Amino acid sequence: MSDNDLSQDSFEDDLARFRELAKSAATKNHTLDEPPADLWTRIEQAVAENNINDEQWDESLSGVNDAKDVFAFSRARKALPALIAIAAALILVVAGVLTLQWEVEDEILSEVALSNEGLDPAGGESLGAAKLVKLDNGAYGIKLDLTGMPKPDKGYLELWAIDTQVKGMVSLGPFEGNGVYRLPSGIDPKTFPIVDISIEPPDGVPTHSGVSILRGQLT
Amino acid sequence: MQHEVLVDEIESRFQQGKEDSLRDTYDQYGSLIYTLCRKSLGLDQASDVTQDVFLAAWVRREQFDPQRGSLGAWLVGIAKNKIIDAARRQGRQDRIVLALEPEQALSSGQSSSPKFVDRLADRLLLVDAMKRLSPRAKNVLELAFYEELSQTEIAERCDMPLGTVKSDMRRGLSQLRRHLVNYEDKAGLLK
Repeated sequence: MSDNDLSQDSFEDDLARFRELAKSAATKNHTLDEPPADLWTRIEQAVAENNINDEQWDESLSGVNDAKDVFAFSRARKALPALIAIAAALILVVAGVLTLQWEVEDEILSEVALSNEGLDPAGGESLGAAKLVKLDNGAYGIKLDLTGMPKPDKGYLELWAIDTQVKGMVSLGPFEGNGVYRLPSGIDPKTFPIVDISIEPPDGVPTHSGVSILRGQLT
Repeated sequence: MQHEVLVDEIESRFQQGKEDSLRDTYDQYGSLIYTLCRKSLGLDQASDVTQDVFLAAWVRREQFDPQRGSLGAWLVGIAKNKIIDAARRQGRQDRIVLALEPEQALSSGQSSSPKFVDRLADRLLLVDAMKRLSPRAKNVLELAFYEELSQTEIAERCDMPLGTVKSDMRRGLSQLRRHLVNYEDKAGLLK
């Protein structure tokens, strides 16, 4: 923008606006902090991990490892929706097969009754049990046997494994009926022993809504 | 002005995804974004959210338009959305903690309302923008801001030609305006 782009009116407006802000910043003693020394390294690693994921997509689409540039992003994105649909279909098929196996071969490690006590009254009629099961492939799962589950007008029910500090929580996905819900690999059920079912609004926010209807702690 | 050329070059290289341009961008704006996150969310979350901002910016760098405003303003636009999201998550987390273990209820989140974050971001952007002005333009604007001197008074005080003072002020205000542009987020592209 050249100097002449500023009319006298906008000059006065800008002067007044920035003067007020400058005085306000000075009053509140606003200065800029130095970030922690390791923050850049963390960002660099996050970008590198993001690049690796991107390259894996590229390779899976092209079959050729030509993604040597670590700053190469977003190639072949047009094919992504189709790939996701195929992957989702495969996951459904595999999950269906595994669920059938789990129904037969689950090793029950512990069990807890889930209660609505102190939680959202939308789950007042809900009750049941959660079992920690060891699957034949070595993974852990939460086997649910529940009744009286509400059907929210808006949103859906979601199953969570929560740690005892209530600082970490892992979504095991939408609750879609009784059955086994596999814990992601690397998630230790001893670290996340609280089984929780929440009502989630359809807002796209991936975190727990804070509206729980059933809960219990596995031992 | 050498500094302006440097910033222009970084913006261009960043937009094109050139190697090292993210590091240069972080060197230029890391303090600004980190401070905004720390003052809004507290020390615990400041680094995580700052990291998210730079990662998101890098992934979406092609959406940055230097014609609309500075790279710093664009990063702050992303940061504001990240901060609001983090505060929202924290609010939900607080409710869960409260339900399970009331004594552990957290107290963060008071300073993360959108209005507060907008206002804080503008102040910090101004502080950052002032640092980027030439020493002469910075001095002229400081006299205009803090002592509310007119251009004639500044010329007399600094023993400078009035035309030079006017030119410095206009150039300085133009730079501030570009740095404090508000990126709107109607399409959710800044998240």
